[in-house]
Amino acid sequence: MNAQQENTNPNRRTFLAASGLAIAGFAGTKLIGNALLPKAEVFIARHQRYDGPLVQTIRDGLAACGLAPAHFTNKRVLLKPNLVEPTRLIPHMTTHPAVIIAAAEVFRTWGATVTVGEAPGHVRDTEMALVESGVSEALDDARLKFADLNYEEVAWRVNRGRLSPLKGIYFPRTVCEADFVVSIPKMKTHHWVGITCSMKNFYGTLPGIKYGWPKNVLHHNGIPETVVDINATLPRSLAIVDGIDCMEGDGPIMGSLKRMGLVLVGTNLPAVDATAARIMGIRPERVSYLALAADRLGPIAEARITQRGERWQDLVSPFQILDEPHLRGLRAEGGELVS
Amino acid sequence: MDKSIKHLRSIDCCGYRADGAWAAEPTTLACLALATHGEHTAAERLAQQLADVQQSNGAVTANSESDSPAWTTSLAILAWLACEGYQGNIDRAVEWTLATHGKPAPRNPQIGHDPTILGWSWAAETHAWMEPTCMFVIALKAAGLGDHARTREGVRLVTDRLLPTGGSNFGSTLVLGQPTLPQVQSTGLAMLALAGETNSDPRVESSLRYLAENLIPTTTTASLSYGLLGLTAHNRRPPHAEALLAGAWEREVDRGQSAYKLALLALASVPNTSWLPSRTEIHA
Repeated sequence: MNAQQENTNPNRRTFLAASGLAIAGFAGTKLIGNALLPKAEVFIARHQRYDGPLVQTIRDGLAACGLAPAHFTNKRVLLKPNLVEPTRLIPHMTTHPAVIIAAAEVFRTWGATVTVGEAPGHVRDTEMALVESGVSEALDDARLKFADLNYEEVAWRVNRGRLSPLKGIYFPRTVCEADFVVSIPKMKTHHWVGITCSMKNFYGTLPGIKYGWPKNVLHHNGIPETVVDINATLPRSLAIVDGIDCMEGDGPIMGSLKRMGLVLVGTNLPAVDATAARIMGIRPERVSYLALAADRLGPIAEARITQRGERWQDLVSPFQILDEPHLRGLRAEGGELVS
Repeated sequence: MDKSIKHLRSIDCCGYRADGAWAAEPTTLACLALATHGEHTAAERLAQQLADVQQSNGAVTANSESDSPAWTTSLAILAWLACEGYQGNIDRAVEWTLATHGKPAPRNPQIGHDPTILGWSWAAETHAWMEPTCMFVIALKAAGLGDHARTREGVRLVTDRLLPTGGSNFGSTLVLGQPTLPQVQSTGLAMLALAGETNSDPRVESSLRYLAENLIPTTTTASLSYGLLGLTAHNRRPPHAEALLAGAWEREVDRGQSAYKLALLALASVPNTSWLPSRTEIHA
């Protein structure tokens, strides 16, 4: 090799050095990129009870996530619990009335006009769903207005998620008119998609009068895709999760009671659900709709979720999951597969 | 119940809520209730509203401002049958009904019901479910097409979707091997659809027992009404039916009198199935 060749052909050392710089540069860019990606805050409270100070817990949670009373003054807030198919025999299937009433009190004292609304997915008799869940009596006592989202007038909105073939989505009037839609789900396993929490709960914002009982139009257009589409198209949303008495195993209807004593609060629903999944011993990136929502609607990666209140790592208690091929891969560590 | 009928007679826009927008289902039920209680002029007025919104293909959609879904075509057939002068509307609606079906699917070991049976769906291009299939079966039978192959297949679907221990829900029997939960409203409608059938399936008797055991003073209005309609159609009307209806009626009056609920109560108050129109059987 002559001197000229030495000068014009990079040797192995210079190649490695250059490669190293390139790799460092790429990694650095990625690090900078990650740092620039938006983070989300999720608040967790433990040792919660339905007869405890839930108003204070929810208030603390919203404040920890950067929300102040002024954000809600003169705003219309729609609270959306999960009343999918209520029966007095399985109270851990549906959002407990105490959580709904506490959330309503927080927003009302902050100057908002609060409505509770739901479009139960499996029952046409919404009154039955309210009575069986105990929500009817609680709403009467608290003088809260209920909107039957299954039978209201509807309005069409362009599908902002664009993951499913649906060009648009019909929402009930109360949903369209809301400034904030607050998902108040029950923390549960789900026999088709692994977990149902704040994002999936928004299936119940769609009117049965357009989509049926069940809302089979959504199933035919892809459950994960339509979960993301609905969340992308709704007005501004928040989550307050009833993780006190939860459901494991054959959720979302027939599963078993699992007591967790938790309340989760957040302004970014994928982040809230990813945190709930981690506590349940489920890997969020393997939950189809969370994987689709990631970086579209919010973060699900642990590094991009700022924990407020309790650390999720201290609260992990794996939920039983059905021993089915489509669910086995969701488990993180531990946990039991049940038939 | 006279007060319910008087109130229904005065309503021009029947909705699900007292202040709700016009909707086809409450209109059809109010039309049937008025016709049954001898209020023919008021019934005709509502039947005409349904005729006015019928689409050129024969379908009647759930609410007037959109072109789908059209499961309410079934109920419109019943309403028109209860009135005079709507044979053309009925014919077009029946034609649409017979050309429409839910989307079948291959058998799947993860679910208990037979998804290959053709019934009717809530919305176009989706699976057939219990309640719309019941509504179309009832309508076709009333229109004299009880022997039609589609009606027979619909009856087969309704029977297939009964739960193993009786009762029914939206139309799911077993999911991943686990039985689902029964609901009163769906079970009542299913029993109404199966009335008059020669059906030795023990789940029918179990379903009637489930209904009888679950109609109690706190049963909500729509569930109570459908439960009573189903039991009455099988000559199993409970002796305390009138007391249950009176309690539900008082609750509805307190809430502002929804046409939908009042019409259901008025129909459920009829101690037989005379409210259900019936045409001579047309052999297809």
